[in-house]
Amino acid sequence: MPERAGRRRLLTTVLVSSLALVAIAAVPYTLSTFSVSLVTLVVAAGLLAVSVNMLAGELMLVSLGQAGIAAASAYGVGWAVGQGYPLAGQLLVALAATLVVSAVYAGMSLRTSGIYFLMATLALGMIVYGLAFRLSTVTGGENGLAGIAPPAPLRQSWQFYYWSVAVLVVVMVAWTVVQRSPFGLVLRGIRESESRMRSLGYNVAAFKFAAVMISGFVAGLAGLLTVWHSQFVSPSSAGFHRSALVVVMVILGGAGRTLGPVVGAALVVWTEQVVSTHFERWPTALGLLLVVVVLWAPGGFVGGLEAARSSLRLPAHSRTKG
Amino acid sequence: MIAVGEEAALTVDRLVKRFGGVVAVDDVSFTLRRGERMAVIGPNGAGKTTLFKLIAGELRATSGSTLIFGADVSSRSDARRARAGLSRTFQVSNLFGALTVADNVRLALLARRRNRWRPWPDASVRRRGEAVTQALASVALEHRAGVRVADLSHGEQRQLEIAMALLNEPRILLLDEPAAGLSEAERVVLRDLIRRLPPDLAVLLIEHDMSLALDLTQKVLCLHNGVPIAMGAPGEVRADPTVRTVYLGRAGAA
Ligand SMILES: Nc1ncnc2c1ncn2[C@@H]1O[C@H](COP(=O)(O)OP(=O)(O)OP(=O)(O)O)[C@@H](O)[C@H]1O
Ligand SMILES: [Mg+2]
Repeated sequence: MPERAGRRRLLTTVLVSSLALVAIAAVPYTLSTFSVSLVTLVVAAGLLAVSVNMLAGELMLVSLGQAGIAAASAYGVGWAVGQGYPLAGQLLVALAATLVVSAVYAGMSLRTSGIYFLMATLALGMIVYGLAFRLSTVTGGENGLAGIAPPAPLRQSWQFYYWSVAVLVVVMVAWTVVQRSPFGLVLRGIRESESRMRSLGYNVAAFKFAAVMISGFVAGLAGLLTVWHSQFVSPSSAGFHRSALVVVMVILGGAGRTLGPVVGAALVVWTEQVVSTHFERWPTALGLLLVVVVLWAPGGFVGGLEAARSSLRLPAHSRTKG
Repeated sequence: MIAVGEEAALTVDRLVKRFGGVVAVDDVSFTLRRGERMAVIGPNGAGKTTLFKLIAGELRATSGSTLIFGADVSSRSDARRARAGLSRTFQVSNLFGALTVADNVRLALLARRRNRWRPWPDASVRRRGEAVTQALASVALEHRAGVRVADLSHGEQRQLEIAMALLNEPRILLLDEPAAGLSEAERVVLRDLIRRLPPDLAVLLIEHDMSLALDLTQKVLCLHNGVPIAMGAPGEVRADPTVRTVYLGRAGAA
């Protein structure tokens, strides 16, 4: 009996993922260029939300300044493009900027937890925002940096779309593997009790540092996708508004759920870009949606779907038993 | 049989801990030898848990030093002291509540292994699984492997608390009121568990239950308001007039 149920579950998984793959692949063939660009925006925002969800899910650390890391990476590329560096040089500068800023965030995570990490990252995001304004010789100040095109083979919107999806999928699959690893288990142990982990002899600080660095690296990737997508970066990309919106994505989609951040990104970007054309007060709409989710579906959209599915399945299960 | 060696496992030298105006631990010194079992007794607020925290490195001492097998660890973190062979249980169970019993045990086993950093799943799932099952069997929790620790009974949590401290392969074990809140039957199990600990393991035991403490140890330290008021063989400490007034006078008179 359990064997057959296992086989049925495997079949469902294979079926659902093939359908998802077909849908993902079909996007450039079926949608307008504008819509493809919009979906790419969802993917890039989703990747940033994934980076927040990594820490939120495994360590219960919510970063309210994640856009600061993404912006560091974007400014890195933008500056390197301005210097006339080749692609490899651009990527190296972006990586260096990402790692330096992430290391500051990671250092902060060692001294704080819970609400204090939230406030610390909020402040760090503000600092990045302020620096983007002040260091105008590097960042272009208020005007930002423009003309940051992706490498030639990714210039067409469909090319860039597939590339972005590939990055997102690789990151999500890799993180799912990490979650099942000893390293992932250690992070959850730290989430549950830092003092117990220390008394077992774990170097808690090193693990937290590593986790924030990994999350920062993913945020940097998201920054890269975003800046290549809009070909432009300005201080607002590091702003509090962006960071907060990313956290909203995670909560709406379902914190700690693998697909949560991407679903949340789709909801937020759709509201921001589509609803806003019909309804000027779209932030109000988003706020209402957030209130509804927090009050009635704390697991977010994905959590809600899971609950609905299990409540649908339960009666069927009891029928086979009775 | 427990063989108390000559070698000093744990040396505490003139430890003092002040919290503002309160002196929680006031000039405590003793030596625990390899394989020796010693009890720390004293009324509520005597400073027993604080003394443990100083030894484990969770708190920094105001003054004084702690040595583990001759090495001064006073300035080392709690994690480094743990890696030096010191293991402890907590007065209030401190477990990974949202994780399963098996994952709790797995974390205790991983602590000393290099592959705790590995970011992909263990290839030798079966081998690791066996180690976990074995560890669970040692505290009769193998049938609870998949249960969330928060859903365990109080007694089971206390047992897991000790099991995890032991999985760390310690040379010195600090037990903070392991019998707190246990039923009479569970106490008997616990007493056996402590008796069956490896003979060369040095054990420091905080216990309110006088008979349990005196039964399991060869040496007793009695604290009162942070001050060591008596130290010696169980019989001597029990007979000590100061101890009788501050401690036994209340609980042990019956
Ligand atoms: N973090 C702290 N800050 C301030 N005072 C503290 C702190 N921890 C303990 N104390 C005080 O130190 C004294 C000793 O407390 P401790 O917990 O060590 O006692 P104990 O002997 O373990 O008591 P019990 O038998 O109730 O567990 C108490 O007066 C307590 O209020
Ligand atoms: Mg205590």
